[in-house]
Amino acid sequence: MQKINTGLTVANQPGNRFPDFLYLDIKGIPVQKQQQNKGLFGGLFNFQSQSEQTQIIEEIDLYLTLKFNQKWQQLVNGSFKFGLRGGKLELQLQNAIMPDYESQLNLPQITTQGSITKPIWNFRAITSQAILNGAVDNVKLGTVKVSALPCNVRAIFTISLGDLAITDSEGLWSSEISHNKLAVLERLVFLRILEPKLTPHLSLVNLHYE
Amino acid sequence: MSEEKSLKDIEFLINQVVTADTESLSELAQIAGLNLSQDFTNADLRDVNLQGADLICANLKGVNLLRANLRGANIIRANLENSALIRANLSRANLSFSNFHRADFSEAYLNLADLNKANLSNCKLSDVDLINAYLKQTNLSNAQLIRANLTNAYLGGVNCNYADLSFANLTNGNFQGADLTNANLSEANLSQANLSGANLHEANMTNANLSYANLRNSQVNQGTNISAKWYRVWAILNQGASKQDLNAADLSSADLASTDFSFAQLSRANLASANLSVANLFNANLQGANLRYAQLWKTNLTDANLADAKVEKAIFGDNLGITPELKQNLLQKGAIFRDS
Repeated sequence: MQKINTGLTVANQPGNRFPDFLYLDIKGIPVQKQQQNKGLFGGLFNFQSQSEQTQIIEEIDLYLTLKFNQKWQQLVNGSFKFGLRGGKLELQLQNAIMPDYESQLNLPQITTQGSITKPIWNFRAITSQAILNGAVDNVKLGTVKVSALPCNVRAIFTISLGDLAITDSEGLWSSEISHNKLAVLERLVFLRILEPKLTPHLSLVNLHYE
Repeated sequence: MSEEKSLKDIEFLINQVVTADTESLSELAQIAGLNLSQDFTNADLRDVNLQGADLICANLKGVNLLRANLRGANIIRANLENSALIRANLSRANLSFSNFHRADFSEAYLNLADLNKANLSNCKLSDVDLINAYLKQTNLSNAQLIRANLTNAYLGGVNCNYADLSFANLTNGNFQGADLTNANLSEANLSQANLSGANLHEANMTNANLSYANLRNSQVNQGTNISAKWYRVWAILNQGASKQDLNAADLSSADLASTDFSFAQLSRANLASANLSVANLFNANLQGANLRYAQLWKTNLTDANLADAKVEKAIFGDNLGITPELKQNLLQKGAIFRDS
């Protein structure tokens, strides 16, 4: 538990199933009072239509750390290396919204979808051949506007089988293998080995404010 | 089952696939204990060879078939929604009744493909080769077909609502009864296309080439963006031309076969290369009209005024109303007679 000087209590529980493959962390920093257009607890901040006015009692900047890597999977005599072509980061917000989620993180590998209560960032390697590699280190994701306490922010990183790619192998098949055989082998190891390990989610971070 | 036993089993299957004496994707999948029709959604199948494969009712949603060879494949009643078929070879493939909603076919080869009642709504089909393809009642609504080649394609009853067919080659395409409402046909080549019964309400036909297009019974409205020349042709074909004032009208390269122009005023009209076969020009005034390269086979020219008409290379034959003197006069002016 982390005490914030605004009086909010912040609990951060990162859960990375394979941190050497995909590491996710989200940090929340309450916005200082003087930076806001109106008072933290006193003012009304209208971000929706007149008929849907919501009272904002707090604003929290969210900072994202996301590290992508490739990973070797050992079988009995051979092994293969795999990586990610893409993936999906979803925030599930309880008693909060994120109106600016489409504008903060501008990278060519990222497209946004979802809504202000369930924003989604889709990560995709720039070319279809490429693998996601490297890190996004403590980059501002957006500002969460809290309407009531307790407030919960759950960040989930998920993938589909189409996001996986085999990038190397040893002792299993030759690099000269045909496209048809490789397509079947990829599907076999994705379905039988990787899907049970990497689903329903790869990483889950829970931020709790009360 | 322990993880080690499971991994051993999988490694055995890998070896079976690697050493298999087949390249059939379906057989290889079977060796791996997989079903090609069910276990390959969102799969990476780029560059695979599926020539002639049976994929009837297959679920291949989201599959990547970049550059894949699907020539002659049977992909009937299958689901390939959101799939990528960029530069895939689907020549002669049967894709009828399948769902390709939001699929990307950019630069794919679909010549002679059967797309009967397939759903290609919101698909990317720019620069595709659809020559001689069969698209009966295919759903192409909101599809992008920029620069697509649909020469000789059959598109009877096709739904092209809001489709982008700009710069497409639609030469000799059959759009009979097609829904082209709100379609973008700007700069498209519709020469010899059959638009009979097609709905062109709100369609954008700016700079479209409608030479010899069949516009009979097609529907246009105030929202249809069509040039004054082709609107006039449409009006002649659908509202009649008898007794009309068409002096100096540009009707060149129009398909006006079988049209009734009796008593029409066509002096100085440009009818060069127009098809006037079997048309009725009884008592029409064609004084000074340009009839060069026009087709006038079986045209009724009884009491028509052809004084000063330009008739070089115009093809006459089996006409009513041509006296031996008039025939001789027309021949002297360069006309061609092909009487049977």
